[in-house]
Amino acid sequence: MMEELLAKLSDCIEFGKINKVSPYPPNMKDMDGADEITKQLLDGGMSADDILQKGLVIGMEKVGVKFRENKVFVPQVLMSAKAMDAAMAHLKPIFAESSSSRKGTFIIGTVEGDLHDIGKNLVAMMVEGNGYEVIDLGVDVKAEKFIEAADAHPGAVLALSALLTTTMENMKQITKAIKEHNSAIQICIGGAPITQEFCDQIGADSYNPDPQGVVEFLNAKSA
Amino acid sequence: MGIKKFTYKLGELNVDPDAICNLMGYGEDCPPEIKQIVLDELDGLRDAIGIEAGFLFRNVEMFEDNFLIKIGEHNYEVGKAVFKLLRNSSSVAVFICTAGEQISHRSKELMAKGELLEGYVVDLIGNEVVERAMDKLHIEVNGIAKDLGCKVTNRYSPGYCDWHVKEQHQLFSYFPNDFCGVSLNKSALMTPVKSLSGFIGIGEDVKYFDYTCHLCQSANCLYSNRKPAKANVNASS
Ligand code: B12
Repeated sequence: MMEELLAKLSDCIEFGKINKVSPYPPNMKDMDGADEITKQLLDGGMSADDILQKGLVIGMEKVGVKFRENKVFVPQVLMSAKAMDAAMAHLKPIFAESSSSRKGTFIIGTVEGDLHDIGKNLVAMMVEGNGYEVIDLGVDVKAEKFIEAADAHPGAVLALSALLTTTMENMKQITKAIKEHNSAIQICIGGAPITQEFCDQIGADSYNPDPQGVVEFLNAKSA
Repeated sequence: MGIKKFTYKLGELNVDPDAICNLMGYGEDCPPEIKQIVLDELDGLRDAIGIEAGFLFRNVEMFEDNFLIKIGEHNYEVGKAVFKLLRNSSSVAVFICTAGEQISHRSKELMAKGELLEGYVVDLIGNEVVERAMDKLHIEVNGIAKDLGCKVTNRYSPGYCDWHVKEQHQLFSYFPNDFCGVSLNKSALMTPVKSLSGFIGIGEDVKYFDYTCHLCQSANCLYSNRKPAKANVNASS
């Protein structure tokens, strides 16, 4: 019974079914959504951890892979993120009380001089949906702010986004400053003009062209 | 001729809801509930302010050896691809165009409220608005060029192909500060974000292409699944 509910919850995330009244997707009309099912699972005694890892994350991972393969587009990812939010609204208070496990902390921001945020937001949503705590520093983020956040969350992975060739230069400077401060801090980078070559050149730890890539990098680290 | 400036209303820009669905990746198969969001948001932004554009003409000298375009003292190293596309221009219309702050603001507001899809749709509306405003400006430029017995090229922007984005600093120097409400930061980022700058070539023997996507190497472009541009400036004036 619980297994079945978990599978349903995973489907709700994969297809973006938020709650019962939500009309989307049409073929799940009038069915319970992520909101109701999460509550049912909690009422049934399942731990918040299990709900996250064995239900929500499974669904989000499928979305990430389909997005990478161009089988779904940004709107579906956003509907999934919204369904995820509905489920997390029940789980977050529990996580806040217990020391229990999110898989790790991920701190993301668009670098100084750059205001682009749609891509960065997509990465943040996907990573959160895959069971990590995400801290979004917003746009136009200076090196000091990244460093401050990293110091406040030891072990957290930093992620930098940039959309212009000029702000790539800022990304380089920020990476340098972070590494000089503490070379153990792991840095992921991404954004339209970024390449693996650039990543190697500036000494960042991981480049990925899409959100799923960074999720896989994080999973490999936390495994 | 000095600077020409225009203010547009969203309603006069021929923003096609299907084009927005297209930007999301959909073709004919756009789910009706998503199309409805596009229609509702377009309607809500009907009176959006701040959609502005302007241009001025400058004579150019073109140096094929190093793919250099000179405007007075300013050198523009536009790279081979853009140079070829602007070939035979005797002057250029230097332009700045923006969808304004209100549209970006609306997008951010929706996102912050958790209305992610709606926020994303409005972000894409911003992309489409600035392009359609540019179509209008392009038609203006074409009209003037025609009176001079000239033709126009497509529009090209610093940051595309091998033309460095930082050359926008020179480009902006021909306009008053905050022209059309657009400012340029140290990193050559324009605010509002939904803004474009660049050149339209003008000359007796320049070329306009109906479709330029094949000239670009971008592997992940949003526009690569697009039909050829609808705004053929030569046909529509
Ligand atoms: C739509 C668009 C526009 C629109 C809207 C701009 C906007 N950003 O809102 C308009 C028409 C206004 C525009 C204007 C300009 N643009 Co433009 N634009 C694009 C385009 C086609 C798509 C951008 C987009 O929205 N993508 C969708 C989002 C979701 O993707 P994303 O942000 O890249 O994020 C994804 C990945 O990159 C990744 N990712 C992002 N961050 C991170 C971080 C990490 C850690 C990881 C792992 C992954 C990751 O995951 C995301 C999801 O898959 C790109 C080309 C392209 N294919 O990307 C050019 C592009 C960004 N533009 C470019 C340029 C040059 C400009 C202009 C400077 C041109 C000009 N002179 O007018 C202006 C600048 C505007 C400004 N404010 O300063 C260049 C930038 C590179 C450069 N040379 O500097 C690009 C890359 C095109 C190119 N040359 O190839 N643009």
